Amino acid sequence: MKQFLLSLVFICCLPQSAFAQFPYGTTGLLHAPSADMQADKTIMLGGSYLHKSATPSEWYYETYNYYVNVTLLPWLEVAYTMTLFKGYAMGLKGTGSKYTSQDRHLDVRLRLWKEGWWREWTPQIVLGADDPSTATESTSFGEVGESGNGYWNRYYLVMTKHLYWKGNWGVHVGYAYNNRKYTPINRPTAGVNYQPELLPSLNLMADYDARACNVGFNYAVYGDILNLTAELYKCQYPSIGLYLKIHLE
Amino acid sequence: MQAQQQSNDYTAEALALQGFTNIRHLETEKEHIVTFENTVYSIQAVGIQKALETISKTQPQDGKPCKVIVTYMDIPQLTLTSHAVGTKNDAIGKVREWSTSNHIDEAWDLVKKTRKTNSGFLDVDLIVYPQLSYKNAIINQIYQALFELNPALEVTLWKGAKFIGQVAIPIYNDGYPGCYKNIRWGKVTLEQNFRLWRHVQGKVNAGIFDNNCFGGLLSLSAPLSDERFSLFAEAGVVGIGYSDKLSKFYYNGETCLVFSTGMDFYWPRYNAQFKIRGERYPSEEYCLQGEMIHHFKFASIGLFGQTVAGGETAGGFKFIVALPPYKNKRHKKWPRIDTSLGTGITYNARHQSLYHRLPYRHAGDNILYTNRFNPFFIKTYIENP
Repeated sequence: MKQFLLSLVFICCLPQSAFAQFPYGTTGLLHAPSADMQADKTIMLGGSYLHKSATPSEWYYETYNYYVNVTLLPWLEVAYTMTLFKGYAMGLKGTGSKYTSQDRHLDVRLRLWKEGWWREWTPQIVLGADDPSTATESTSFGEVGESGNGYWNRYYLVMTKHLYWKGNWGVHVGYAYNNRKYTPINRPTAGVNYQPELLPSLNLMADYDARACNVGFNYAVYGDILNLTAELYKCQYPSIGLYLKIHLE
Repeated sequence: MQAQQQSNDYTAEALALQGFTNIRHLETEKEHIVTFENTVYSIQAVGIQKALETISKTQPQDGKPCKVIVTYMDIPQLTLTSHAVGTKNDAIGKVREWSTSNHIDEAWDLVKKTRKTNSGFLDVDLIVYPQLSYKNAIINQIYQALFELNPALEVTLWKGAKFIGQVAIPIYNDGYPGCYKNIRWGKVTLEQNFRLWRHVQGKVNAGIFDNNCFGGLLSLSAPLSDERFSLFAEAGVVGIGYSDKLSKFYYNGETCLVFSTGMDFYWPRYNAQFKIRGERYPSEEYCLQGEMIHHFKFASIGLFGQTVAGGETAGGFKFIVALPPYKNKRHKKWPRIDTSLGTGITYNARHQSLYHRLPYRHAGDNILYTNRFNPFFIKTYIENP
């Protein structure tokens, strides 16, 4: 309860920039999705350290991921994220604590409605799918079983609205769903971020990703090119990520 | 008349000094016609923009429009037309606005009979194609990688013809078995480009392709009257075989008819290309494939999805990035050493064995290469250099 109230305090802050959601490699808050989109022709390359609590239950150890993300069109974003497995988790002996394999997954985000279209008060709306493919029992692209691959599977619809008051604020409300056996989701998500007027390169975030409340921040270390993201999952467990943003001609 | 001829010669000389080839110029009653070929700048849009600057500065400001035809191995690829800049009272060097089109008109019939300056016949290039391949197929190692330098000798022959002979030289091999450990033949092809009925671009390739194929392929493409749409068809007969070493070539005795047909749509606002294809592969499977590619100045990035008869599906992404140097001018007729137009990867989100495709016809064949003369893409970057 205390964690939830603490999150609500931070949830009063709403920024207007688009940042990478480092566990998934897509644009978003910390773990909850948002409807923010990167500018067209943006590429993000990033990597993160993830606490085991911030990952699906198949990871019972700390791990790392790396990803490439491209905004192919102003309303279409695609990411490809690799999350490392340790050898002993794959049944291999003699590998110690080495990471010897990885999970690969694709993420797609489609903007259905741009903020301010038709009326100024209308929010931005995005439909997203994380890890929508592959399952050991299935041969079809787009099917995810209850078990097997598809660890990061999540479908969501999310709305975002921005405001300005002594800085940029954003409110993000959505719904996330999957049919996974060990990490099921079928709940609303919510989040808030705030970019202070005096320090616009800092973005404070708090969210609820249908499982836990999280707080964290993003800091643009070098313009909008190099960014650092850090979080406390469940307001306790730290994870950190770094990503590069490139704008193509 | 003599002053006009001098200005035309000056245009040709200026373009030749910059390194452009197959230059022609003609002044008719209604327009100036200039043709050239860019082999200096690896990005055609950049080269064309540089050439247009030169043409704009050297052409007389006599109120006649200027038509520029860009060629490739002396086969017309693209027409750029500027409206009349104005009379001599206008400022010299006023920036022209250019419209672009794949369609070729009677201007080509007139200008191709004139004398060429700086011919590209028998130009020889040694192009290095660096290729990084990697796979994530075993659980005790994240990646297995293969890095090869694949130099290719490319010789421009008669009109529309080019010979490309490539050798694959493995530099680093971790986990790629068999022929990948050996120096072997890469893509060795003879290519003949041609143009039919002014609007249809055609190409015939014969030789050793990739994807363990060799044989012959014919491809045709034609823009519709709305040039955002175009039709594409390709067909050929290939055998299944590969080069193990420079002295060994294995052929399994099978041949196969392959084809690909479909339509493209190009969205100029975003320089995004959408393709839909029905295809038959060397594995004798039929497939429906869709692609969406966003073309940037120095890169092309795309997504693809395919469904094979029988229900299997696959998808993934591909990207090609242009390699430096982006400018490499030939010294007289000496052979030139250069890097490939671009390098990149195609990544299959499913198991790689399910990714089906037709073979690439020659060493430089990729999504960046096939879009290089797209009129909308060219127009974007000559207007925004």
